Amino acid sequence: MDRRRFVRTFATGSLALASLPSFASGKENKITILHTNDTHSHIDPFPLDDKKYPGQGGVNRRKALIDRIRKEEDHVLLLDAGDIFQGTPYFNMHHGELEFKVMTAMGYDAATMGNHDFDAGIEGFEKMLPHANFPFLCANYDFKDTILKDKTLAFKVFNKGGMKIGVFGVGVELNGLVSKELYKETNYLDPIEKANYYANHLKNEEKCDLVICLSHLGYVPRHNKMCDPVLAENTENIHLIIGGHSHTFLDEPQMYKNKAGKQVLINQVGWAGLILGRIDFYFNTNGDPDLWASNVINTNYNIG
Amino acid sequence: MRNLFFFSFFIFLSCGTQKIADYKQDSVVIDSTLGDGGLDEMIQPYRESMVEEMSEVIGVATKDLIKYNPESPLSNFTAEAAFLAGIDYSKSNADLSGLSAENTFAMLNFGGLRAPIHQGDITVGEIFELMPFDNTLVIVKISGDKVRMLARYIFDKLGQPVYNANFLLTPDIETMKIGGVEYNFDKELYVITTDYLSSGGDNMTFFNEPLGIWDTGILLRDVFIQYVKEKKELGGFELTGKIQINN
Repeated sequence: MDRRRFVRTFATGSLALASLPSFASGKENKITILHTNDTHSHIDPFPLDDKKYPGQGGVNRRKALIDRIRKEEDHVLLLDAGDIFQGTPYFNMHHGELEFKVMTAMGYDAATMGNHDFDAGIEGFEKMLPHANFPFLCANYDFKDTILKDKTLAFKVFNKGGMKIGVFGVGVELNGLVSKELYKETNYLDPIEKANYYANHLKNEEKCDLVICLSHLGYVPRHNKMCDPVLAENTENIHLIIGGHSHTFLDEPQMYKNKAGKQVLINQVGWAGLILGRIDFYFNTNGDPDLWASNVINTNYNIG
Repeated sequence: MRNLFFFSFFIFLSCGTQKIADYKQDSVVIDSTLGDGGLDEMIQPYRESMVEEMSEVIGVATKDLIKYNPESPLSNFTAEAAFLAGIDYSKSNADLSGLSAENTFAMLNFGGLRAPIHQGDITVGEIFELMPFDNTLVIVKISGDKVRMLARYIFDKLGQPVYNANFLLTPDIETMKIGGVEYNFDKELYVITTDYLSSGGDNMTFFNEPLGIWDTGILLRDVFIQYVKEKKELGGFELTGKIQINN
């Protein structure tokens, strides 16, 4: 078990938690966020003779792990940050059908669209949607003049154990990255503006206890200056950014300060379904989004 | 215990919304120790048809086709296949009626050739390994100045897969032939390449703001598959000295 743990758990955090007064019973105030990004049609594990990831990955084992966590935890949310398509012949041959089917079987709650999810064109993506029993959250792609009109959502609110969790998604600029013939009349909107708008809406109108942004902007900028740290520092009301696009293996979630000086976590788990990201959030009535990071401030976080 | 539960519930309501107190991360590497999630039944039909398609034999290689700089059998095969497919496409597009073997060459990128072709049967899967990306064949029309930049790029990169062009490159001078005829960087040329490169991939900035660009929509991988299917036997691709770099 320990061997498989990607990163050690935080003893300091757990101790601090134990010292906090807890009003609700143990399991009531815990939300388990599971996440993937850039799975890129990696249905099967890497071959045993693969130089970098021999025998790693594979959706069947990912599902076994998710099933086990669901048995152990009451309130689980399973999310993906995009680029589900492209990367193995499964996609070239079956156009994403199996990718959506296995994600549905695993019980994904929501995903956002990555640039490669446009690789079969927006028509190709639309054709596969019946196989996905979960919503695609795209707050900064305006699809109103396309076949995807009303087929995606900007955000969704999940109710888990008395908590409200608001999730929205932002995607990368398509021009220069994806052929216009594929994304057609999709209109790219400023991710920071849209993130601020929807995070504010989720926090203050929908009264969400936890606001999560699914981002396919990348942890490091690739083809323009936009990236998750820039998003974090220029927005408010987001607690967690689940990233993708840059295929970054973060050893642990990175802490940034948002526009209002509050803490934002960014996490990303590489690509190809090699890792299942997991972050457990603990809630109580004394917790304060302004201060919650102080429980773990003594670990080696780089507080930005 | 029951009373405690109600007490807790009461406090929970009276204290208002819950707030984040802490978090803990516990990401897990996916490996064989995690067991069986029961998805194999769902995957199997897809896997079988994929394996079937990937194992289809489309031709035979009489020798290993591998890549190295500045010119190699693998780069000669891929650039030739791209060139012929581009010429073929131009015949069906009236906008490209001015394109001919006298003013056109093909250039792909060395880094984009992801695996060699091994001697023996060539399967579809082998072509997928050679070209896993869904890059499309693109024709770009560029000025002589940009062609000179392209030649300089080839010098800097110590070669690239090309066809129907010869380069003699020194630190100061670019000499070039198209279709065996000397070219003086004075005329516009058509370059047959991929959408990845024509959009500036691998820093091919000389493709920025071209005089014309035509995306054939044909996958480069399908170009290779078609070429092998038609030729049946892949061999030769002997080195011709088409790229000479004198540092």
